[in-house]
Amino acid sequence: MIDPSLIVDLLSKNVLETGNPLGVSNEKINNWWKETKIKSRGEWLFFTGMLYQLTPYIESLVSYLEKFENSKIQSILKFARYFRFLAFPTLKLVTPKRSVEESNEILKNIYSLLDSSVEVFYIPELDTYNGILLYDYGDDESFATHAKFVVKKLKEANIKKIVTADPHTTYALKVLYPKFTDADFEVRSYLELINPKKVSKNGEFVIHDPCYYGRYLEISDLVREKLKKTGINYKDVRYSKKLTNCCGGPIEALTPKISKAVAELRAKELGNSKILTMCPICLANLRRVNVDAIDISLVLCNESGRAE
Amino acid sequence: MVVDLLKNISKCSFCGFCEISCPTRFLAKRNYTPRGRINSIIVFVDLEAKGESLKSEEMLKGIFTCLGCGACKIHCPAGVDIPEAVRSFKAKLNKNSRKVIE
Ligand code: SF4
Ligand code: SF4
Repeated sequence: MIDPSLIVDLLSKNVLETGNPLGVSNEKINNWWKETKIKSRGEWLFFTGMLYQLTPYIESLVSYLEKFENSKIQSILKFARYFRFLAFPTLKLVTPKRSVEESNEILKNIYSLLDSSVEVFYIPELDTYNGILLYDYGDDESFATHAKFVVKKLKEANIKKIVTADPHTTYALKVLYPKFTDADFEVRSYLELINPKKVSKNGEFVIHDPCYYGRYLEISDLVREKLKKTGINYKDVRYSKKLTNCCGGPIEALTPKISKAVAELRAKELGNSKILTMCPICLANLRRVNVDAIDISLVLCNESGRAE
Repeated sequence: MVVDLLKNISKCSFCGFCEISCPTRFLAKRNYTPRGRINSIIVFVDLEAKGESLKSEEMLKGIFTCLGCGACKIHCPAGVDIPEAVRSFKAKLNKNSRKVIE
């Protein structure tokens, strides 16, 4: 295991100084909207929480962390923050371009699905990392400081309704921010707001419910209703919805080996069909054990890749 | 916060109903299961009250390998919020020194 104190210290320093766990400004990783017709006014602010954008880089980092898990070399992490400006360009070089492109494509699809269902708008300057890793690792103080910073920006922009892209951001904004800050936004996952049309997708999919949607926010049935509308052929395994099992992702930065072993267990439960995921962390961690998985937003759209 | 943590874990009767659902139980050590994690917290708090400290790498690993997934919580007949107990214990460890892994 990587010493938790090294990871938590690095994370909180990076998030508090730059607003981003990688220690770079959000503009460096947030590019999906540049090739999309976004509106700057509307009813629902699209807020990604940066998780889809960050995941390709975190995955590259984890593949390196895995190499020195349980080794004494891990203490070099102590110095990582001093080399922040060197670290990101290196990470960018070793991160597969297709992973970054896929994340961008997913976000474009989610925005497009929303755009054809509700009055959605996007302001890149307001979109910020959600802070959830700090909360998961028990750094409540840093999480509260960061959450207050995010909420202040949103309140100053007079935001009332927020629609999110992934389960961690949804849970953070809907449940945690009101506990740690004076946030009182109306928060919904995009899966709750969209009205997908019929799509032509062959084959059978198996659903992997993320813990936050299945147990904490209980929106699994609603997701299935939306899937039914599209005519997609899906099935559930025994451990789904409230009884879903974790992909192992939440501990990948601390102990990549155990995280991978948990993913293997989950992959066995899910069987051989193509797996539908709703979270960037689930998608990445399940793929570490070589399963065939795809983000649900890519399936909910027509072949063109966009909702009509 | 420590009071909430104590209220939460004191409900545990060590029945073990939570064990079967935990994705890290295959690690085959008691401290990698929900009941084991609750037990680690209780032992830590007990020793701390006596002025002693439990600084064990294994205990720390048990706590920090919890996924926070909540699979155990719905099986607990006593209503222990296990993921929140473990998470708030991480917060407590963050305040004390976490550095035990050499
Ligand atoms: S099910 Fe609840 S009471 Fe029983 S061992 Fe687990 S935490 Fe304790
Ligand atoms: S929340 Fe932690 S203790 Fe409970 S089932 Fe998940 S990994 Fe196990």
